[in-house]
Amino acid sequence: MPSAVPKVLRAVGLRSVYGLFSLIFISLVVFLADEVSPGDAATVMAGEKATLKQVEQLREQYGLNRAWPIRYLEFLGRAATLDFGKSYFGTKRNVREMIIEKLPLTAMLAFTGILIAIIVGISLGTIASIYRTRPPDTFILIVSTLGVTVPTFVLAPTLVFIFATKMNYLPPTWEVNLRAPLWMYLILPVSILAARPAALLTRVTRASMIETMQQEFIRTAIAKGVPPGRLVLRHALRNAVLPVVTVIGTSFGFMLTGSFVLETVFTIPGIGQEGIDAILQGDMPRIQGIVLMTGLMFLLLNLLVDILLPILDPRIREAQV
Amino acid sequence: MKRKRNWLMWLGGGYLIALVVFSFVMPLLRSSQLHPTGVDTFDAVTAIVDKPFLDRGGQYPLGTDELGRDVLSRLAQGGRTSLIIGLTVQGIALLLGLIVGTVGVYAPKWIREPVMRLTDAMFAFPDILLGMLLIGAFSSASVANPALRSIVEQGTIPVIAALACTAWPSIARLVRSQIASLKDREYVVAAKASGASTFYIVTRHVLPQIWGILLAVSMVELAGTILAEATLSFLGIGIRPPNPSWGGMLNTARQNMQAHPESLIPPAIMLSVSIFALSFVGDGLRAKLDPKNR
Repeated sequence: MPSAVPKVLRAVGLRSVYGLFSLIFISLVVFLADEVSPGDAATVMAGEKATLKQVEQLREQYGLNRAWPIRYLEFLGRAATLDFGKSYFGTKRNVREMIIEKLPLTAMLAFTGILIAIIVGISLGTIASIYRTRPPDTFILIVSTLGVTVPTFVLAPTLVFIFATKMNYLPPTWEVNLRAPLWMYLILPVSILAARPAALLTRVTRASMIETMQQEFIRTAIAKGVPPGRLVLRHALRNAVLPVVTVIGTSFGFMLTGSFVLETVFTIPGIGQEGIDAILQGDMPRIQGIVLMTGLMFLLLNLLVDILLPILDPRIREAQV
Repeated sequence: MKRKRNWLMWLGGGYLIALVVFSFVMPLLRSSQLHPTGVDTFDAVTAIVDKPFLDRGGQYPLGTDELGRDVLSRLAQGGRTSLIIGLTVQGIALLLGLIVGTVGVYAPKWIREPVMRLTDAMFAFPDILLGMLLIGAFSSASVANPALRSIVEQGTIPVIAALACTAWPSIARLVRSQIASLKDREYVVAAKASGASTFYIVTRHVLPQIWGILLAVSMVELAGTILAEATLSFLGIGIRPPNPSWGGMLNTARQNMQAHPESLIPPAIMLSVSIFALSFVGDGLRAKLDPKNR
């Protein structure tokens, strides 16, 4: 349908505008979080023993004595070019450089996790729906219920204990000079990260497949003599995929929290570890940069899901304005 | 199906009562002694270094942790912290959610639209990032302001602020959709026609209808809040050591896992079972109280 294309584009455009709007709003929150807290950048940088005059000098130097709306606009302008200034402490590192170094590892962790979760979840869900109420289905349901309910930071130490400490198969923590191939370090955290979304997706796929398989067009397809494999994969699964994609979209928030927890457990030097370190020091430029950049990545992913949905399912294409 | 759900709900409710008794009453009933160092033997915070990792039994039913503190007392105080933080956060979220949700239906359009858009923006943004931002702001403020330092180092208030900020948008959206669905009911229209003010209609006709569902949803959200508090404490930016919290206990247990893997068990069980119980009760209540199911 050629007329559907502009419709999709319009919906995507609308979504992007909303996404931009929420990002700008969040940037205001990010800016004000620094603003309302007593003590500004100058007092932090000058340190405890500084005199009022030194603090005043620093304010002058960094332009901190201007009204906050002006400084917010300036902050927004710099944030748009991904410039968040320099860290207050330690080596006073440029925040953008730090993010460019640390974010990819976290992103890789989260992406691989969700990818595995999608493959495992949809496969297991489909298998469970085929064997509905028979032993394979019961088994998959029990495992997925456990996967949904056990918190990540309970699951993670338990599995580390079994596979790394007791059986000594895998390295329990990250090392500066990796002694084994990278995947050996990532396999445990990624599997733990994927566990919960995989379990959720299994349940959603199963429920959606069972519902789809009862519909009339499936009966027609069976009567027409479509072979079982093709029936499940092409006829049923394609129609059952909509709630599954929605759950994938809502899993991104969990993937972020989960990555941070697993970075702590496995001491992976990602953006979460950096963020925790920045919080413990009270290093505002680093915190602001991390929150905004990670938030941007997150909103872009959600936008991607919004674009993907109508492409996957023509029924949404029709429903959209 | 319905019977089974009820059964789970009562089981969950029973556990929650037991949890409250365990965290608030049990510590008062145990007779403690003074250790030679002058510290209470059941003190949950102060270290008594000469008796780390004692086995279960005797006066320590669950043994002691790496700093010689009674694990049972730490579990109880951790439970207390979790419950107090959870209930405070949900209270604030309920209040804010009710106000914003009502504004989202009854205010003039130029107020209503931006307010709901902002709520959506807050709702869509990942909670962990917003939480980190707020805790970071507290932490940053305390660098220059020594008066704030003890608050930040204890952790309760920054955690409540961070979690309340992430909890209200979902309540506000629920309140809005519930009020919007009641707005055109006949009895509400009739009240309006007979000259009742918006405030009167909302407090007398609309709110009594949605209390049940709000309570049920708050229960489910409470489970999420307790989990979020545990996550932040596990990451080291929630309740900070030496103060006890289930998440923090899990983190130290994880660090001592090589030699003492059994120390993972108590906080892991408390946390998981509490979250199960809260979601059972919440889901059960929701099924019972949702007007759609009547």
